Amino acid sequence: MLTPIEKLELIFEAILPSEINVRKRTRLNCSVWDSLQQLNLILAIEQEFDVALSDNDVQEIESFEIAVAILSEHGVAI
Amino acid sequence: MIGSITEALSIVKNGEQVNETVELLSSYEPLHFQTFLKAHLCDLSGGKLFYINTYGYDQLNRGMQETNGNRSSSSAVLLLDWADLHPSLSWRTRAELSFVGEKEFETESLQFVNSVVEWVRSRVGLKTVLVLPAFDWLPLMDSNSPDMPGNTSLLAKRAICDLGLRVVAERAYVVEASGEIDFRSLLNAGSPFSAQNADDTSGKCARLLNRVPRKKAVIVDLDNTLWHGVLGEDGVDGIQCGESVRGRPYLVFQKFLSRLKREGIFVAYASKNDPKDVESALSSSNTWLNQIDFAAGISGWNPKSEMILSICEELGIGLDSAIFIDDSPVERALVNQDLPQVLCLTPPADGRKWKRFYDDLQLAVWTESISQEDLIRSAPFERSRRSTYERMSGSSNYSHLLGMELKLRSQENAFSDARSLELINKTNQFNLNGVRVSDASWKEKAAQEGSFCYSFDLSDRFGPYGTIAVCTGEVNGPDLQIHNFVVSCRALGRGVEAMVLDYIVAKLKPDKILCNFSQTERNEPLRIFLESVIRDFNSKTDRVGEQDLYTLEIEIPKLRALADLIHHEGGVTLVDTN
Repeated sequence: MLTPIEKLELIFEAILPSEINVRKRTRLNCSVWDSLQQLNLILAIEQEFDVALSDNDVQEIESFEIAVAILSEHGVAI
Repeated sequence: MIGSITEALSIVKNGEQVNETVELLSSYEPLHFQTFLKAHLCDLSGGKLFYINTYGYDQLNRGMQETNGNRSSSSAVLLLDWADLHPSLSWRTRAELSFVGEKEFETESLQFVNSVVEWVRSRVGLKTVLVLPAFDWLPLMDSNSPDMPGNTSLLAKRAICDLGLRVVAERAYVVEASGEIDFRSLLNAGSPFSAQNADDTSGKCARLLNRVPRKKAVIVDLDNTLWHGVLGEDGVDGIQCGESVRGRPYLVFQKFLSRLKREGIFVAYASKNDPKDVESALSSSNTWLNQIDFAAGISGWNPKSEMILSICEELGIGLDSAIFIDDSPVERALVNQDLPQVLCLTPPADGRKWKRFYDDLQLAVWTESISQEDLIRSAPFERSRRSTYERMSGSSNYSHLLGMELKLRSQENAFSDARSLELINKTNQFNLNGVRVSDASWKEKAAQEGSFCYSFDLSDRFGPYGTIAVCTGEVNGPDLQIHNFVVSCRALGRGVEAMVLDYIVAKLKPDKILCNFSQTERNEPLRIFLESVIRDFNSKTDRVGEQDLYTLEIEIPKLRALADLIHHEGGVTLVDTN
């Protein structure tokens, strides 16, 4: 059974593969992180954590760290 | 259903990459559909990770050009969008949200429909799945109430349905996308699939691309499975299968089984009851099915797994071809434990839940087309045919076949007969090497110079068997190399195998016959036959995939002598219809 943070890591690893440590991954240091992968990422996060992210959240998630913070705001114990 | 994107990603992460591609075409970015399709295929194929090739936004035409049958041999999935029919049917249209005139719509949509049909036609022999857009995805282009479709949507739906019908006629698969729309993903990437719909719809596509062989027999329990009630307690008059709240679901179930029987599925029963009671129940007017409808049936007090084993043996099918339906969780668990190859299904106790059960059952017995062989398998004469041959088994010569009037008919160049490939891919016991042939390599094989494919039909005094043997290979100068050789298990013990090889020798007159043999878990009957006609088993070995392939030489004089003996002693004849 994966913990919430491990689930998020799995999502990042699969959708935004990079050599950079997953927890340090950002839109700037990850070359495959384009607008389409952003959508893939959002869909995966919404479904996995059963949250509805607002359009603002979608715009703001530009790093693993921010994703963790936004999920916490939505009440996910991460 | 896989359930979630994370689960799909985990499946993909653990898969083993194979050198096979599935083309995924759409006019938009398929987003998670791609991930789910990959995961479903991986799951169904036992861990194989296919490469999914996509073409990017607005690149449907390029995708269709590059996956045209002349240029591609991969399976393909085409996700259709309403906007493909006409740009005005897009929420993302650059123009006004309004509908063009009917005339313009019909002209443009017909052009698109024709191009898709042409594309599908070019891919004949390759697996192609067309995913029709859900009706819910249509944009609101006219002023009708959302409760009532306007002319625009009715016209668009008609065009999509016409496309579906034409594509099915070309032997492609058609899938309906699941309903609910993901509006944000549609607006940002053009993909209307929510994660759940992508999971559901890609699962349907994967099941069509990676089909498991059709099950051949449904073995049912009787009490509270075929009818409501317990025969031993309620008596023949007390069981219900008819016009009552309790009986009606069982009546429909029996009618469903009757339909499966007509479509070539064996229907049998395994019941813990007194055989006399079962006989009187199945000859009463209280049930829709009668004793004669069952290809086999055992009642008594032995374990169900023993009954199932005997039934499969009697029907000449493998355990992995059987479905067992029983309301008792204990019986199902025991069968699961003793015979894990058998698919166990649960009949719902509540009449409201039967639809899901029928979906599961239909999925296991579904076939693209019901062949003549399927129909013959469940024909009324088949049971007396089986028991007649069973009585003869064990004879050391072929004279017992004399009164059977066994007659073979050959078909030359049988590559174009779909049954040939089907028989090669589903025969286990009498199969030269167990190598499964894909649609694409079958097509390549057919086009190869010097290649041949013969198929053979069999009949006896009971009636026809349909196609029962296929042999493919190539002629290399004076040598003949056999690649595939299969004989249906229903025709084993009739001397057919030697007769058909002898026919090919007489036809192609080779100096030498070589065959690519591989021992599999189940082809012992083939190995025993080969022993009687080959030079020796210690020839050179190749390795293809995970199989050791032996190139063996068949001794032509031995083969001819054996065929002569079968013809003279058993009266088996072969008619050249070419």
